[in-house]
Amino acid sequence: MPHAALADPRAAVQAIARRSSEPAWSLEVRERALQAYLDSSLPDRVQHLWRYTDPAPFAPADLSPPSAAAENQGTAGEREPGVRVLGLAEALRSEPDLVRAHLGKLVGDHASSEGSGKFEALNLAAWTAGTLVHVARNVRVEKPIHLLQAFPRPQAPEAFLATRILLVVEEGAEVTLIDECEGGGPGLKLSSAVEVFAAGAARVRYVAVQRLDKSVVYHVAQRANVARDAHLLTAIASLGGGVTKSDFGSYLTGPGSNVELVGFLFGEGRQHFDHHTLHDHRAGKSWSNLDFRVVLKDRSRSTYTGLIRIEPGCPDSEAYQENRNLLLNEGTRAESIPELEILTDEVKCTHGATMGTLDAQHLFYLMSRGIDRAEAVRLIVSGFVEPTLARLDPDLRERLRAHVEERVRGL
Amino acid sequence: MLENAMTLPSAPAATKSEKPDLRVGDDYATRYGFHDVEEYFHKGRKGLSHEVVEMVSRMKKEPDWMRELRHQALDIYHSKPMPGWGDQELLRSIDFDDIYYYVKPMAEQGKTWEEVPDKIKRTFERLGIPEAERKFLAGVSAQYESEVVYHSMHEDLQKKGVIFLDMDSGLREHPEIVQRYFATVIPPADNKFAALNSAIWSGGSFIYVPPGVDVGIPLQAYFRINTENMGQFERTLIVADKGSRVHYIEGCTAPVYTTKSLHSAVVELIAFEGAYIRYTTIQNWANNIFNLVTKRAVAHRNATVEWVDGNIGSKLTMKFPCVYLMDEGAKAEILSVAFAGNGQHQDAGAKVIHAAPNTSSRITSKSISKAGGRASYRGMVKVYPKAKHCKVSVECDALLIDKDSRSDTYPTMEIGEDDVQIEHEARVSKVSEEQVFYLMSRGLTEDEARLLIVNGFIEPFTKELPMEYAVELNRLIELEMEGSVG
Repeated sequence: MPHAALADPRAAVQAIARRSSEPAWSLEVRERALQAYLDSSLPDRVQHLWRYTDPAPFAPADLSPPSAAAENQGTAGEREPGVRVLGLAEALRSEPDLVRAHLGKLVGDHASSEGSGKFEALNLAAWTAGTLVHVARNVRVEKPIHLLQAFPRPQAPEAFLATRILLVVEEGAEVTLIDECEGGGPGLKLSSAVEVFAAGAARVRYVAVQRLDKSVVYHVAQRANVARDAHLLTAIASLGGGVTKSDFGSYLTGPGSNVELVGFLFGEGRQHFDHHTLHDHRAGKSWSNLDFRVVLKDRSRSTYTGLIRIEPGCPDSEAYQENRNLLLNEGTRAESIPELEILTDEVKCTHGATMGTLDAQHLFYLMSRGIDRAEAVRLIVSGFVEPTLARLDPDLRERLRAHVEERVRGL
Repeated sequence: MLENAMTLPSAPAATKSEKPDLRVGDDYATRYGFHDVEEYFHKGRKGLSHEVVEMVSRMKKEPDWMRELRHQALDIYHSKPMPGWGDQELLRSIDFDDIYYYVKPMAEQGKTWEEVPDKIKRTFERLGIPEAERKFLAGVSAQYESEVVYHSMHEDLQKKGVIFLDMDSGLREHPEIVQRYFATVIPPADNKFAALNSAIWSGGSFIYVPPGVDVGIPLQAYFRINTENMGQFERTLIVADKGSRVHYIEGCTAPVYTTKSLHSAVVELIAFEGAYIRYTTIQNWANNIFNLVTKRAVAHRNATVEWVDGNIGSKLTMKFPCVYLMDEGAKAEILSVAFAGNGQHQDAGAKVIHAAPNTSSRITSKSISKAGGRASYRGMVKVYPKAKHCKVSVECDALLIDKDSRSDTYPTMEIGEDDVQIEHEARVSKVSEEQVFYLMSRGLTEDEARLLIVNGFIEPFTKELPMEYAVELNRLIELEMEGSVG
């Protein structure tokens, strides 16, 4: 058994539930998820999703949460009517029906949510920090909601922490959620689960900015359900973390649903990134686009696997996917596995991937204009990410560009 | 014909073996002289064991090293798990114990022309396959008139020092070359099916081209189809010495009808410095066949290897022609077409390993899915660290003919070097209504318009084929496309 070392996980899970006086059904959800976690073996490394990343480090030795958990910042303050931002534990008590209807339905154990694996179940069993964001029908939230999670350095040699976000956007509503995490330190295993429900004609922007310490072992799973005529933009900036395994996916369940994912990652030192994306078209006239850019230097490594799936009977769907990799020096490694599974004929579907180093001609051109090499490299790298940023609205673009510039300055 | 000798499901063997009207593999006894053990072997047995391997090897009077290799391979075969990827449902449906791995050649002789399915006969008719050839392809006759052609060609080759034999003869007549290269590109431990083939292989081609020799005409297995070409576990080894050139063509566009269910070949190509090998396959197995093939080439300095690979028949094909680019200047080109019709899964692709700087590769894959068929491109491009200035281009196009069909693309790129140029593109689409409309407005029927579009779609492939193959392939596509409107 892979969990011989796990010290009394049931007691730990019960303690978590008791601590915030969770209702009985919540403990049941946790216990069932825990069972799913314990019953499943580590992911099969033959399957490509885990071929390049060892799953073992993601399994914690102890589920009891560290005494000083991360504090959610930016959640407080007055909100417009129709918008609720609550701690998830609090919401279990104050909004039981809402939470119960959504919690674990997209990221959880295999019984509660399809496609969820071992570590998704672990999160549902052992989460201790979380946020519920609910936007009522036809409410337009003008200002982005910013969740900043700053994790302290663990005191023990190993600490495990699981957080969740539940974003429920009702029909015709509009919201931007910025999910930013930073901090942590050696020994921290962090698990994050994000569930997004975009009801009919909702417009949702979910932005994940990851700036964790370069020692953190980080697992993140996001799933979104995008209904009829709803629009979801997912923007990802992956900057920190020691070993990052991330999985961002959307189910396009209604006709006219529209999903866009733009993202970039910057790897340096010995950072290891393993990103997976899923765009699963389950309705006709659905549209998705993905643009994911990777910049690697030193001995960093990136694996990108992205699946576009168009289920049977989804005519007039379109799906596009692009993955570009810029390898700045010898010693970097990149894998790219863009995948298509197309079961409907009336579709347009393409994907493309490129890998390469800095274009010598571009460098030469810039340097012949009197720009020194380091600055030329910075310009080219900024230019490489720019088309991705250009897809975003001005406010998001500026916010993410600041992170890019911070990284580029260090080149 | 060894192919028929190798295995078959039990029913046809048992019920038809008494019919004496055919002469399949008649010369087998005289060639291998195995009458000593004939009694022992008379019935054949299902399943695979060391006993069977020993028997096969002894019958063929093989050298000790080959016999040992077979036994080792068998152990590996038993110890390896089935692939954990690919079409699990279909793979699980193979019953390995229900296969005759080696049957006395006489056992399958009972097949008659009447038993050949009408669909296959019609296809022969439409493709314009000569009568004698039809019977051979259907496994009814062992004689085929191109034998004569083969013999005259054979003399020309001999003058140039080219060796072109079936693998068994190659092992007998040129043991030193075979021992040096056999299983060096695909060792038995490579995968379960390579191990299976290594344990029980029979037939296939052996080609050696001496330094600097340009073979000129394509070598076609077609010419020696009546020897052991289309075996179930065929084994092909092509060695092109420095600066030589050879084009080998395997298979043919006509459907190959056999009652056997598993075909698992191993093909090894070695291109030494400056050599050029092109290997063309057009696979059109009957739709009950599992076609699980391992094909791999090594290309040394400035050598070029090209796989031109067409997959039209079979129930499940898993075939990923591979090139290892071992030294500077080596080039790989893989061009493939897959046509997946009703009940078929074409899981084909390409694999290129860049193990040296300044190597280049190009992969072009075209697939067509129709009537519920499933075509998958599964590919791998790997660039090792220090393999600088590599160029890779991968292009996958898929065409879906109707709404029941499926197309998958699973490319993998593992890049360990920064100074490279890698491009991958894939597109999936249906036949464009605009194009159909345009052609119909020019007086074509809808069927004709669609056929023209499909033929245009695979044209980059057909234009690489020798004329007669291209013509046959076009006719075959025409046949497969029939009635696709509506």
